[in-house]
Amino acid sequence: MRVLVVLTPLMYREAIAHSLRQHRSALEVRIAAPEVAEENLKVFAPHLLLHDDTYGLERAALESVPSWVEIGYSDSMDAWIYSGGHLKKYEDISTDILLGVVDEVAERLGRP
Amino acid sequence: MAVRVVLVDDHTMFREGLVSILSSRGGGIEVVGHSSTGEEAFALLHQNSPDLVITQIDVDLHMAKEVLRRIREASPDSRIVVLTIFDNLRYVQALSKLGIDAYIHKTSSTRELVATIDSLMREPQGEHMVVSMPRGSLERMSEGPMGTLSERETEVLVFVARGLSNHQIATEMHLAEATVKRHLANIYQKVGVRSRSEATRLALQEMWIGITEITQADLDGAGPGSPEVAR
Repeated sequence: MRVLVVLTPLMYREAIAHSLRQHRSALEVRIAAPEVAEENLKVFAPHLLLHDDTYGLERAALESVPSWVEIGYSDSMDAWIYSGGHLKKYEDISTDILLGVVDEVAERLGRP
Repeated sequence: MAVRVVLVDDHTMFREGLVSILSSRGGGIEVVGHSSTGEEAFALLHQNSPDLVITQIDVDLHMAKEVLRRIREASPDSRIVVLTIFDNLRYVQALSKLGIDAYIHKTSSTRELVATIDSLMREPQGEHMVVSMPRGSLERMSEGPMGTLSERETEVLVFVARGLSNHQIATEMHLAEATVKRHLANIYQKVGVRSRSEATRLALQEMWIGITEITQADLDGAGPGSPEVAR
């Protein structure tokens, strides 16, 4: 399963990607700056996208991804999660919640 | 012997990721605790007395001073690494004067953070401060007249930029309104402007204050707010 992390700033992007790789070693995780997110969406075709609300991704770009997590920096890292056709909000998202989303997407895909 | 680290940041998922990176360094770094900012963090520091505290500080100087004072009080011998989204020169200088050991902008890589920890541990005397900031920010910082403002005058200017009236500034800073007016008159004279908006524009142009420093107030409330929260 492929996960694209385009969060800002860089330190956040790297830290969260590291957590994903450490806890779910079978994942293929790529990080990219938001400026090149759309290009990476086309080339990498992730099953899950992690982005934030500071860089406005085109709606069409978001619709091209089966599942996404949008972090809102305006209030203590709350997150909107879109997965399986449902949109949910989490306050102060943790690694455990993110891994739950990853597992849910992987299960739907039928692969690790 | 491993460097004992306490990590303080409000963003749980980011904090957990950093813990994971630092812990994966093997014997070199031991994360002895982590928490969000506030009382929990000060208690953690008091209990553990770590060699190093890595803390988020994304608040105005008034609050930053109080946060650093509380950190010193809780763990006097810890070296302090500040992680921040503020990228203006005045902030770096002010925190340097407050005795921090490293100023790392969050656009830096985690590798730079790890290298900073190594560097600080190799230099126990603390004669040098490590600064990691975007090159563009440093290059845009000029030696203009804003540099002549006192710390108090700069504090007033930040509140002006946030759109506070003299009366509101006086309340926030626990000053008389006449004192605020006097500070403003000094600011106008020193930097050669005639209005609040001109002063704000110049301060932003010279990067003496940062956009984040102004907009952060919208998140925290109009003023500095409670000192124990360093968001």
